Amino acid sequence: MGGPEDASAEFVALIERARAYDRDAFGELYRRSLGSVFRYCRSRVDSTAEAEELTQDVFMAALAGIQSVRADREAAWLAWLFQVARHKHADALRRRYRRPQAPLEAAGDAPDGAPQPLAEVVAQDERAEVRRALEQLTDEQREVIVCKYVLGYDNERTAAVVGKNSNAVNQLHHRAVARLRRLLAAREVVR
Amino acid sequence: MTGAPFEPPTADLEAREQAALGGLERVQARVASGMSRDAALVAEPADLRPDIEEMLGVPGRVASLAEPPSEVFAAALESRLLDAADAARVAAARRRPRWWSLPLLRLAATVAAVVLALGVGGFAAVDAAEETIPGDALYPVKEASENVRLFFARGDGVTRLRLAQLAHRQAELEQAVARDAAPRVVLRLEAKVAIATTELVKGARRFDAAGNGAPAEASLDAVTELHDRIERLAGEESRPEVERLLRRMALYLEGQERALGEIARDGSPGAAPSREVPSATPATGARPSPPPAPLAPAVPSAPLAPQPTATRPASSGVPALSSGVPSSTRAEADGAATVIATATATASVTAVPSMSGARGIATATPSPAPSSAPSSTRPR
Repeated sequence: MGGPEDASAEFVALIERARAYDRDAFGELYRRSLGSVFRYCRSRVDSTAEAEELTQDVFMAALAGIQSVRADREAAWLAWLFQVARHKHADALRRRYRRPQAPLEAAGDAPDGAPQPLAEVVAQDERAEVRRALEQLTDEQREVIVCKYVLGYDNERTAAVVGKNSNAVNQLHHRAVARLRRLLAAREVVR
Repeated sequence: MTGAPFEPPTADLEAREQAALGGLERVQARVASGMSRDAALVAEPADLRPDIEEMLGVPGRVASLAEPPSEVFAAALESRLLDAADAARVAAARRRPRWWSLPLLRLAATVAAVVLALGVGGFAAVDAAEETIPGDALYPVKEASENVRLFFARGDGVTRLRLAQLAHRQAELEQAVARDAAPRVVLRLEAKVAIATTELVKGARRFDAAGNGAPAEASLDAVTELHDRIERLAGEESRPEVERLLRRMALYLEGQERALGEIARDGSPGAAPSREVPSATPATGARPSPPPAPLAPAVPSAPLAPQPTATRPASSGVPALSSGVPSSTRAEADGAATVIATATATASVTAVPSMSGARGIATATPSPAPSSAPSSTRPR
């Protein structure tokens, strides 16, 4: 994945072709952004199955809304996809609130209901803790943290995706880290 | 598992946190430049190290959430997505742009539809307003329609429209009386009759000065006919306040009739010979009445042209107008005109001269003081 300003003209042309529902262009856009979108989704939900469902919803919505996308850079395209993901996730939470189900974390990620190794259970528990702590950050803080540590973006690319300058991203990052530390420490104490 | 309640940091804690964040940045920079994590940490103050270490753990814990998509999932979703893209392309190709979907044509079509709707609606409203009288909801439409026509009329057309207006007022008066309308309705009609007639006389004078007596002739016919109709209505009307208004109108019209008669008599070659006006009309209404023909618009169908007197129906019942009208009578008629003009301007009812005699012009004395008006004749 290149920098935020790279290949703008090429990306605009790609988006234009995708608007005409060009199979290759949309396939290219999908392959470029699947990793980021899936990781982003996975950082917000409790199971891989949910993340896959959310990712699918995001790309189907992208196909349906491709005519209205105004993205001249890949960062803008990703920002739009993350925004779609946030909305879809909020919709899913609302649906779950209306029709309560058994907690998905209880179901776990073990395929075919096979017993999981203890280490994996502990890791799952740890990830669930971090996810819950993340959900307590502000939207902007969470976006910065996810971009930097889940997606592995540098400051510049994070700034392009969240639509802020580097200084603002730095401030958000520091506050988010400090708050996460406090939140996670508090959970450790409880545990 | 339930989370512990989150407590906001105190000022001390916040200052310590800020210091630790500074240390974290420095440690990260050192690590990025190739130093080991432990070595980078040792360079920081000892009291900050635990905090920095804890903060250094946060990114790692968050990074544990990063999970790549499985290849199976990626391939399956790509296949579904591309199939959907193909279907969308086919559907888009089927939706051929129709001519009305083009922006400019769509705009033009919208404007045309609005204009058409307004036009049709406007014509329908004007048509529906034809039968209205003052006080009706659509009467303003009728007034506006007349004003617009007058605005665009030129030459003889103005006279024709004024004649048509008089015919309309005549019809409205009849309707108002038939509907047992309030005196204020008749009062408004009085004002409108005054305006239309005054303008008619002015126009007749202008045409007469230009050597065209026909407009004066046509105007005289229209005013005379209206005069006669109002007199008859006044005779039939049983409500005193309306009767007074009608008689005042008749009085005013008689003065205008006389003025038009003078123009027609003195004016152009096509002008009518002088008529005779009874010097005084008996209270019983001995003045010859026009035939009880239905009220027809006094608009001449043909363009106004000098018209021989012989072509005017002899049986029209138009009273002869002559210069033999007593000066006092003329003065009283002018006085009535003033009263009407006042009514026009103020839309208030003024006291009406005593009309005990049907033609009591000689004894009528306008009393324009609004305060002396009987309460029953004030606008409701």
